[in-house]
Amino acid sequence: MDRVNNTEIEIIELDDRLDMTIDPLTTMLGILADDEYCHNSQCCKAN
Amino acid sequence: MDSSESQPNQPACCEDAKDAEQHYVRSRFTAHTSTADGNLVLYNSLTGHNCALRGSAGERVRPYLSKSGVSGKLDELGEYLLKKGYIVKSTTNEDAKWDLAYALQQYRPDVLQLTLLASEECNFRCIYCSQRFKRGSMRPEVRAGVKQLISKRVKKLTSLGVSWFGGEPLLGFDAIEDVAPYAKALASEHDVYFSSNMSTNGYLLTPDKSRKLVRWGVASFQITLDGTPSEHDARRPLKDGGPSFQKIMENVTAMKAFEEKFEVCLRVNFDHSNVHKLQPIFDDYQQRFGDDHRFRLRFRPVVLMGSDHDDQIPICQLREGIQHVMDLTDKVHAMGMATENLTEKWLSPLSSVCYAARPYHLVIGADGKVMKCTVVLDNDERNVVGNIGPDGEMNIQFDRLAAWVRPYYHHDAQCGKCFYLPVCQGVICAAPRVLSGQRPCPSQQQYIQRALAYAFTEKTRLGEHNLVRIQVPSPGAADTQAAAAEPLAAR
Repeated sequence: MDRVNNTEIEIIELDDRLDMTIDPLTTMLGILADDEYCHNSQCCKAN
Repeated sequence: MDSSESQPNQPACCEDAKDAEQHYVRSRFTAHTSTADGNLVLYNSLTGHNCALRGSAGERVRPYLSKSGVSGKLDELGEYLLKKGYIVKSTTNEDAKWDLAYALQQYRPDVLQLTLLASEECNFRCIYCSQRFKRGSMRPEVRAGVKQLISKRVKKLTSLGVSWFGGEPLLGFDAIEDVAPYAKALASEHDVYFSSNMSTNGYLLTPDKSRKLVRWGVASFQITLDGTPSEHDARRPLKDGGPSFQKIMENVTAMKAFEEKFEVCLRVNFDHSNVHKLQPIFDDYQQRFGDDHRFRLRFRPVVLMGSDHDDQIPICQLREGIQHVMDLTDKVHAMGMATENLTEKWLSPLSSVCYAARPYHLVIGADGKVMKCTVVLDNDERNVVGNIGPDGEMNIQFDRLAAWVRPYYHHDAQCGKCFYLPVCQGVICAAPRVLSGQRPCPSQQQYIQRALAYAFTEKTRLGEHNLVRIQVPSPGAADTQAAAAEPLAAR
């Protein structure tokens, strides 16, 4: 690409934990191990 | 995956021809919003990726997000958006891709998560609690059964989770003492990932007990303190009506002396009656725990769950509830205290799925009933999916179990099309699905624009972000032809 005619823009990455360049499905499975905690604000583990 | 689907043995000229014909569209899992100061925030719920572009840079993304998409060879920005999942080839079947991901993370014979009701009795009578306190401590034969179950399953597990719950679990400390160290040792022996947590009111969590629990691998505690001592004691009194705040605070504060790794989530349940009176307790927390980030705050609006006092609780509506959660979190962050990670909770794939919707998660009651939901318990027989014997064998009624763990989004067209599907999977709470056929929707899905704007503000403020610099063609020199550029409308 001809850099003379290019402009640089900046992307602010806020969350890039899942490296999709590897394998999205394996990566999703990887985060399951820490998913044992209840995150549901609408259940009794809430109140 | 999309960015690696090309055939490596194809001649370069064929590849170029293919590129010229390729059409790309916005992923059905992509959401975006513009903040008040003109920044564009992007989010994809399947990849969990979340990024932002300031001012005019955001305008460069506009063609990619249009309904008609873009055609031709992608520039560097297009390649980035493709790699992170914001756009996909028009030929990609994203529903099929999601179905596969769902199946892989839902049907996991190598995972076992148990919620153990060490005691179904409680020493508190909180005004918003719906439990009926039918039984005391977990019976010895049930403890034996749980240990046998773990022993039989552990060789095939990669992950074992034990949550202690009740009633008040510490009323059943003898059961915990029996099972917790056993489970931890067995997991360690078989090199199985082990995690354990406890939801306790904290009144009986004396330093002697908390030290033992941490040693047994109970690394996360959720303890509720509903504001100032007087507010808390009115909302969370002892069974005999006595105060509870002081004792809990003493117990929690004592844990600061521990050197071990653990986390205490100090939970504040709020409604209209206490949400504006929390500053004194924040000042107290700051003095006690401000420099120790093992202690984190968590805010939740009270929800009505069928207590005897439901008609007297001035609950916050959904929209104001989520706003209060964000405002309170901001407030304590500004004071230097730690909180739960809201953006992770709201925006990570899988992060808002009810434990009852998982086939590998079981609740085991003090009398050996095997259940799914810790709200319903055995108040509805549909929640009692079986029982466990002293030999660890479970007699499971599979028709009942199946009702809790089915992919509900397959049978709910609106849910199946929702951009937020990978995060909540249509079951942020499984009970309405099973018991009344209603669709539960997470508040953050309904207010995704606020959630994304919050993620941007919070992460940039805390410096929790990376900068990526990308070359794009100067205006008028673009290789990629936008088929159509529509006004950038937030979902």
